[in-house]
Amino acid sequence: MSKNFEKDYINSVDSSAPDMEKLWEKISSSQTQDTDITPFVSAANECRKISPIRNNTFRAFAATAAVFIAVICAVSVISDNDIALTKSENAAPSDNENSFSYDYAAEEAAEEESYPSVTASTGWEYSDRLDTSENLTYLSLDLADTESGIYTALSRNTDDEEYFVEDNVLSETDFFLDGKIISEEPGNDGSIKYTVLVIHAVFDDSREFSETEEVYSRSPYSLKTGREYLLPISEENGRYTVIFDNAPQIEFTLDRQLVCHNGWKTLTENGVYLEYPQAYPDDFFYDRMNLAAESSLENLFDKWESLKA
Amino acid sequence: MTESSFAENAALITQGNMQGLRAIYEEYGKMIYSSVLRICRDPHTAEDVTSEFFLKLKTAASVYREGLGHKKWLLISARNLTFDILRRQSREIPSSVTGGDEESHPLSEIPDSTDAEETVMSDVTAEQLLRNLSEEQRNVVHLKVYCGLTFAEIADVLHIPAGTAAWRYSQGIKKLRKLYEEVR
Repeated sequence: MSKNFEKDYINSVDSSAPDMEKLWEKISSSQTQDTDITPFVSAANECRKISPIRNNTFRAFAATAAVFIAVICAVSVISDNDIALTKSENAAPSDNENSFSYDYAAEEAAEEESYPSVTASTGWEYSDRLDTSENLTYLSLDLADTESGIYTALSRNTDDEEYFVEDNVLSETDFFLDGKIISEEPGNDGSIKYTVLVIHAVFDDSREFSETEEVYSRSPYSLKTGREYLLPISEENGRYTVIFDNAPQIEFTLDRQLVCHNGWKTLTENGVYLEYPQAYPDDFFYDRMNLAAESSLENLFDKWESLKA
Repeated sequence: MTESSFAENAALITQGNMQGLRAIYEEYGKMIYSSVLRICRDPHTAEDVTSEFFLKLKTAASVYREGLGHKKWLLISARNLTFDILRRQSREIPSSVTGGDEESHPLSEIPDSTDAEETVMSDVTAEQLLRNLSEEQRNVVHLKVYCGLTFAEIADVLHIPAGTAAWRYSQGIKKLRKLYEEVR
């Protein structure tokens, strides 16, 4: 449907436009030289203030002689609820909106300086926050609104009945996606296809990511729309699949803490127990959930890198 | 039009060569008109604003720097100009367009979703189907589908977070998918 709708919509809007040739005649024949271009100058200043790092701009982190981890900050997400991710400040433009003498070169230089020489911690500023209150429950956490149900009611994937082992999952992980779930729809093989708005991607080879990516899962532990997850992904024939989807995925709270099951030893080493609702009748992970600090991801990525080396 | 060819055309305009303006007009004239129309809701005003927009672009082209994102710059400029003109005419700017409460539509001539549901579905255009969405969803779908912006660019134009833009788009498309299947 979507392609037909798009085509129909574009045609519909085009057909409601006026006689563009006649309008052009009016524009081209006008002798008026309008020098008040404040709207355009303001727009240029706005565009300079907000300049998301492009998907293809990445910084390589030299970890060993053979392995690099690249972290892409694909979209800077600043919402009513979310906490701002890493963002460099542009040099302030001139207050005089009509000034054309603004030093663009100086601003470009300032942008360059805001990205220091690479270290493992740049590109993704982890939060150290960890709520250690007693009797913590999942439903009391600061979580994004969602319209998704608590589980998908899919048949559980019984191919991987083995117990979760962190090292095994990491060994199969081609890359990690930190993303917000935009939508879900049935895949054509009994799985669910999620559209993920990419916030960070952590990878150690040459990859490019679009603003959104499609990820497949056959898990009854649904990825909820509007929520942000760290997904370990394997790629096969261009298709991205969540690894070990027989457990809830690592979920971000709005105040940048991680909700994950205790199989993620690296993350939960310094975490706290979290009371979690039973997602579906056969759910056996609900009593194994923890809350961990976002900064523990650094250890996870280090471990992943060492296993891949 | 790529970023670099836009910059080339902008440079032509700065040098007094109207072929640059013509090229940009042919590529983006309808995009500017349709986006202005969404704000001012009146075809005659939208025509006047579009005309003034390209007249001003003759001078404003010198402001543009390659890499800013030309579509985004054009659309934000068009928004700014439309607001200026509406204020000049002492007309109220719909708060939903400025990111405000979606309930207030002082200038809306577009029927609300309740009326739209009663529309005869057999002869409904895609644009009419869009009226079943909230104003916020309509704006995002228009910028995504017609103007071809990324969510990040939509966020910049509408002054909303990119995640919110993506969310509104997905909700809008989901609703449209259902309606479209009923009609087709």
